[in-house]
Amino acid sequence: MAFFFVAFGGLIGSIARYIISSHWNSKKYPFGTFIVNSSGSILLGILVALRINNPENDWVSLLVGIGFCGSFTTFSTFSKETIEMLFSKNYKQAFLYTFSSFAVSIFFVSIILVLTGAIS
Amino acid sequence: MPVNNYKQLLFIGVGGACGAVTRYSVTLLIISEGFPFATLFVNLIGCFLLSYLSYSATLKGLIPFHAFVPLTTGFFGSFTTFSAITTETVLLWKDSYILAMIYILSTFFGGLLLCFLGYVMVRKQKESV
Repeated sequence: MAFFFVAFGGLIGSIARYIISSHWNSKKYPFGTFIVNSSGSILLGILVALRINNPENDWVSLLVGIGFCGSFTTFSTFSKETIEMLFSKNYKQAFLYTFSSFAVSIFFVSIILVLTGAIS
Repeated sequence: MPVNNYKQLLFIGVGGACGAVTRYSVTLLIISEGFPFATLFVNLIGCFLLSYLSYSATLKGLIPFHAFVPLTTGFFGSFTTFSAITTETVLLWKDSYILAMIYILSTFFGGLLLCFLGYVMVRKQKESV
């Protein structure tokens, strides 16, 4: 049953990611990947915050956390996009892309976890 | 490829479902007490395989056209994950900021290195042919 929840979340997550990235990723800048990675991280942060206070909802973390958020966000595409920016010598853009992706996600996840008392 | 191609969207979704289940299986197999080794492992392996697959014209030729995006964007996109990296980093920071820094830096630079390695391996094989 656990595998079913993960698979279903992964199905929806990857389709949603594909739609968003094909809409917002341009040749110049992968805004779509930035959007999915930031929003997916924030959603997982909310889920982790809720689950720490309420550890009963295990199927929710399988479906939404591991399945949806895990598949909606992507690291392989992120790295490949970065290395292609480096190949074409767009160092400033590569720095901006990687720094903003990590900074925005970590900033909001920290705020969520601290505010909900999940971490102090 | 247009987004309103529902069959193709479904194929991507099936690839994504398989990627998510494979990632979940790996996390069940790798012990990650104290340090998120499982996430690091899937992310690094996924970077290498996606890069190799994307740059290799030989492999591209072997894979049917309609299966390529479901395999790359679908499977490897879902096999690797970004949300777990950021959440795990924040949670790890609470226990040890040194481990959190080691985790995020090894993920980031490891990912770039393995993408590069995938590219280099494709180039090397081309030269040897």
